[in-house]
Amino acid sequence: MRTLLRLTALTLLSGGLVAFAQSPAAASDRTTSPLNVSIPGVVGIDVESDVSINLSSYLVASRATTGACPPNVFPPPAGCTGAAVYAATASATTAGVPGALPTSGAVWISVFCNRSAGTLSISQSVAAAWSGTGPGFPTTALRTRGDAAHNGPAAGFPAATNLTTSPVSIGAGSLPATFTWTRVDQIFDLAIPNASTVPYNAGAFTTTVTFSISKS
Amino acid sequence: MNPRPLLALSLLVGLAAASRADARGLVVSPTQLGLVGKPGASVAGTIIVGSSRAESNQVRVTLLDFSRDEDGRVVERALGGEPRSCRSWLEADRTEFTSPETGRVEVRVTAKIPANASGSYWALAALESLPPKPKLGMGMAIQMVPRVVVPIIVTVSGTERRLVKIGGVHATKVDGGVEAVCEIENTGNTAVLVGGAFTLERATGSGAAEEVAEAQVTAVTSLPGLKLRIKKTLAFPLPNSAYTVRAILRYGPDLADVTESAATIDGDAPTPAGDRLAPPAPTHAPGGTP
Repeated sequence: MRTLLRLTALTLLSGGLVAFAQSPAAASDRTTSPLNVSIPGVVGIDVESDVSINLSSYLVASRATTGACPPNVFPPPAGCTGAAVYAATASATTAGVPGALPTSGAVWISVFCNRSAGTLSISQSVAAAWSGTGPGFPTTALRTRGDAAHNGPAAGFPAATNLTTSPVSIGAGSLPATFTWTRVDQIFDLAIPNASTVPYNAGAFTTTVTFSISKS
Repeated sequence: MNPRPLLALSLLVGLAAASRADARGLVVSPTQLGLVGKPGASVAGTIIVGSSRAESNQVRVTLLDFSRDEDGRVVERALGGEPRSCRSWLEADRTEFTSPETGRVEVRVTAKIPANASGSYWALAALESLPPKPKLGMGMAIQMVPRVVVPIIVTVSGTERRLVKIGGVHATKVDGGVEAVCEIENTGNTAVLVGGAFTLERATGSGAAEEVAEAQVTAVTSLPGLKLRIKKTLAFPLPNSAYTVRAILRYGPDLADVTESAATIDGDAPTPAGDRLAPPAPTHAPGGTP
């Protein structure tokens, strides 16, 4: 009885059946099928940048070393250990985007949802291959991390993390349900592990990275 | 024939393509599409798609399989990897289209429900804004593909069994209150929206409980066969007392479509009056009065 009373109270508090009073369009419980689990609301994603990595722009003479491979040095010094890491060399962003331009090597991404309840999921994945013959190393050598300077709900990995061909969540939870969009910029780089064993083909190659959003 | 107009036109087309090349994105509604129909029937719903800014987008629609993790997030599955997939029942009336600079496009999704189906089934509509053909320079160009995924849940009316149980409630003290977590499991065959509340109750001297805080749970999707974790913070300081954290959830229109569970948590230990230690015992000065 106590439970029943409490549920009645909850029902009244929330203006109808808590589970099924979903929207003005579904305001009438009599006309809303309890089996229909549609969730109204608008979700959106906008991307205003692409990035590129041109290793030729990192050409620098280097001495052989047994230490760690220094970042942004190409070719990596003979004998160096660990991954050879290269920041994205260009971040082409649409002219006239609102707000601050992205950090160098980052992509301008913004998401929107007008529903505060529920779970926000943002995931990322990379295509399995480069165009043509490819540079010799896999697309999964690309990495991303959230750009703290332009990243409202803190979506993205705090440290650079390799992309995968299957979608991986980079953040979920609280996205402010406002009338404006929220930036979730991501910084790109490339990490070649065991550089001495990896083949490399110079040329021009492309691949795609997909950012997915869902709210439910 | 004067080639100039053609040249100008091709330049314009080229410029338009170039200006479209960088920005891409889309807005989509609803965030989850529920379809209900009888065994053997066809049912349909509409997904509305618009461009994220005043530029046209080339949009592709793909139907995929998915599940949800315990936090309710969509987890894409390999095709054929979801036992309650309805992907093969679904058909979108357009699979690739141009989302105009202004206005919207309606994508109608139809489900042909098999005669022997029962309960709920699900699949994912992925709508992605395709990048233009890349402009090749030297090095590696990485193009971004924004995508919105919309879960589609098909429920076969007349066959549904709604049953949701709370596996347990866990309460943890956090700064300024209590974090309440309940784990629910949908043991029926039907997807439901779960709603209700967590409450924090304090024991009173008379034996009755006084509710001191509440946090509402709004329309969380629970799929059959899957567990789901719901977490809320009850903002209330915990002076010394015994407390009960209760989860009360409704998952259907009937009075019986309710589940409840509770956990107890102790309040903070009383602070001693004053924060100084008791004064030291008096001592007699050497050579004092005997």
